[in-house]
Amino acid sequence: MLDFWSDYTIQLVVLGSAMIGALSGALGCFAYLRKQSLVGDVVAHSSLLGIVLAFWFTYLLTGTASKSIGILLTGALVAGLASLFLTDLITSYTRIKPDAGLGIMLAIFFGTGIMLLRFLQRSQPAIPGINGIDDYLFGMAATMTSGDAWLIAIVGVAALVTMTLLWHRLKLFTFDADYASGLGMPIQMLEVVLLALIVIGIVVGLQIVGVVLMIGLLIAPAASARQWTRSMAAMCVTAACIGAASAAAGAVVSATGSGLPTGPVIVLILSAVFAFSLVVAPGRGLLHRRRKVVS
Amino acid sequence: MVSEGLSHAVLPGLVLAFLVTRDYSSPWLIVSAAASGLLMIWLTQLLRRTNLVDDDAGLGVVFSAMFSVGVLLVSTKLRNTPFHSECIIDGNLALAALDQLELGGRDWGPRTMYVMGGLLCAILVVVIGAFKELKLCIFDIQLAKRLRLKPGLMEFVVLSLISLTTVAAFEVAGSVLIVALMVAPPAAAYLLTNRLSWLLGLAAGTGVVSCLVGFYVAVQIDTSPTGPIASAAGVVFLVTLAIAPKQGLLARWFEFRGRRNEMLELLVLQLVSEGGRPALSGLAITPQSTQRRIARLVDAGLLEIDSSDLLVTPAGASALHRL
Amino acid sequence: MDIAIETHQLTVAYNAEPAVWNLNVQIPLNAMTAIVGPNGAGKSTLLKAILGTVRKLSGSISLHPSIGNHNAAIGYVPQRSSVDWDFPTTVFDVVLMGTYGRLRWFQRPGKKERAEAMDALRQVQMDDLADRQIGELSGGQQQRVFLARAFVQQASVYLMDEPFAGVDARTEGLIIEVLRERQRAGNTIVLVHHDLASVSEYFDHVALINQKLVACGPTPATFTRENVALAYGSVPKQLP
Repeated sequence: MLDFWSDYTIQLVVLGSAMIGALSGALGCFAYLRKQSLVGDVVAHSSLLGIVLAFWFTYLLTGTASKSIGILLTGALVAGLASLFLTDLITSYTRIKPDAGLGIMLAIFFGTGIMLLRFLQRSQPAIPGINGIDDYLFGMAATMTSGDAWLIAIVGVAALVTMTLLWHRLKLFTFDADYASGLGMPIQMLEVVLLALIVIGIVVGLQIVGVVLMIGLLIAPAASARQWTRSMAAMCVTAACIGAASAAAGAVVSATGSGLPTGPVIVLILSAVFAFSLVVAPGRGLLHRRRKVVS
Repeated sequence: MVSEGLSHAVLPGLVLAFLVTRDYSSPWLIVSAAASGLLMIWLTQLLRRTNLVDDDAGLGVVFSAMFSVGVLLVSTKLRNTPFHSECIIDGNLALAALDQLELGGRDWGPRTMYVMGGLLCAILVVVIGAFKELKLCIFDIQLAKRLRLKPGLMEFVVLSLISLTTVAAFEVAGSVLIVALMVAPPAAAYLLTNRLSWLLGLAAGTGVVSCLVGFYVAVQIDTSPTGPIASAAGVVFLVTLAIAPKQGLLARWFEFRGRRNEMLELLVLQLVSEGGRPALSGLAITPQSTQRRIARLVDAGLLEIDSSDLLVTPAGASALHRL
Repeated sequence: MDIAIETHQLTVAYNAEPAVWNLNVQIPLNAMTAIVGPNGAGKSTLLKAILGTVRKLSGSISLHPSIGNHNAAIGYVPQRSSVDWDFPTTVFDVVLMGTYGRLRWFQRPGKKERAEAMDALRQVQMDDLADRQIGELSGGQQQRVFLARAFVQQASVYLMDEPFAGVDARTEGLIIEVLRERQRAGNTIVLVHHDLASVSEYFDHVALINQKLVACGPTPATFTRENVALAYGSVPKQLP
């Protein structure tokens, strides 16, 4: 622990993780309130295929293996959106139910992603750096570089600015799309913006929690924050704080030598926060309810 | 998506039992993991009853938390055992055959074969034995209640079987494959048939085909079979989706086009009957499309061209009247 | 009598299924009009077509010049069940949403808008619950919040989708009272209505539809057993 405050790498990792946690937590509120939690899970799993493909294509094109998260996360973004688009196509034109459609897309994209990853890992001659892609399964905050942190900061600020400028419209659209449409708002555009925000929230989180557990970082802060707050703005801010604190704590535990994957640590911290919120949240939690029944 | 949750949630039970018994082939692994799956279902139902969180969100938090416990246990306590973290994703399908069952000094073949075979028999017994009861519980839970079929018990039995299957499959196939195999083949079968008995048979068949194809690919490219099998299940589904005779995308699209054209033709007829050709200006389709509708209607003898205007023929009028 | 809204040969279809077919409806200015018909008759679709939120396949809709054609010219009350009432927001905030249509891009509601929202809450007797979470409201209170949100739009036409569904008798009386007041002030009110027994009591005009128009006009002449039977296939039990 001693070297924690002086070690530049650890400071960077903690700061970067906190930013990611805040961003995913805040954007997760939209997914939660639109009842798209499981959509988040599918996008996260599916993005593995995008990450592996992006890595492979860069290697084929340039001959060097790049693990710049700018490139990998672009791949993740494309794959995530593709899986959502396909799910939508399947469920609106056939009798497959949305739930099953999501499950299938998850299976196809993630399964193919794993297949390709294992294939590349065994290919000869060995591709340098391919084993590092494994970190995207369960998250490894410690591999973050200062370039990565800057990129996340820029994406975060862009998402934040979009959210603030369009805040009222996004809020109304999330709450009551029919009415927003009646007021003449461009709801198709709002839908696209919102979806893009949610997918960005998922994709940036992949580095620290990984594709398998991403749903935890996306949803748990929102679900906890919902218990404490009475307005959507407060919910987003609270979720951002919960996400940031949990991600930073998880990164510290993981980066100070234990070698544990960051994802599960962060998700467990978040689950504890969630359980705590459910029980003690003022005016809403289970304790409050019990007191009301007694009195 | 509950099966997605289950396939993640069985992990902590599996790992805990392994930590206690230190025996990779102990039956306790399966029992404990199945219990852990049921625990997840119980927890999500508990959350649902509080009405404090959205159902899907509750499921997501619970299964990711349970999975996290499992992953952490594996990466702290089991670092150098067969149970390393790659297995969580990939399973150990290729190695499953190496784990032989030895009884009385004789080699009886792979142990997994017996476990899965036993499970298959159990499932067959329940499904065939209680087929009509299960069917009723799925389709009409109210009627099932009135007939005292105990849908609650039925659900528990089915969930236990699903949980057990998940576990047994987890050991050999990891967490990805389970979701793939539990969702894709039934969905493909669902596009092909309406009957529950056919659905079950077709789903099982599709699953077997997916596994064989996937395994073949895995051997060819020399990787663990999990990913290829999941992909194969997905591809089989996608192919079915494209070409299934009634429910497939192509069939649906043609049917949709046909119904839409029929509707548009009737609409053209309706509009002409009330205001002649000028009434068609209010139609929100392209002029070319309108021309095609008119041509079809004229060919069918429902409409005739009268100098510059259009007239509804008696046959056209009676078609409208039938509407 | 002046006509507030007139649809001419209106057809709306979802994919290949028509919801509203070749519909000619006239809704008079400054009156209370009920849209009545069985489930799936296209009543909500008709409202949405007038609002301009669904695509017309054919026909046109004309509005009286006094109504105007800016974004929030028509006040809309969607079905209460169309939203998640566990959304983290207060009664006051929901009502304030009615002013969003007037705001320019990136503008936030100011003092004027807040005062108007409070005013609208007073009209539906909900001002004392302004800070309440919407999840803590009864069905009738939720409906009144939606009504207040539409009133904030300061429109002259209001379209309401089943505002009496799942509402207690007291709220129903209060809503009718408020609507009549609006009518006296010169507004036009259009309601999708389910309870056939109260149609004659509440409404001046009625439009009976079942995809196609069955009948449209003043209630006494239009809302006859024959027409109801035509729309529903048989005379429903609710009707005496």
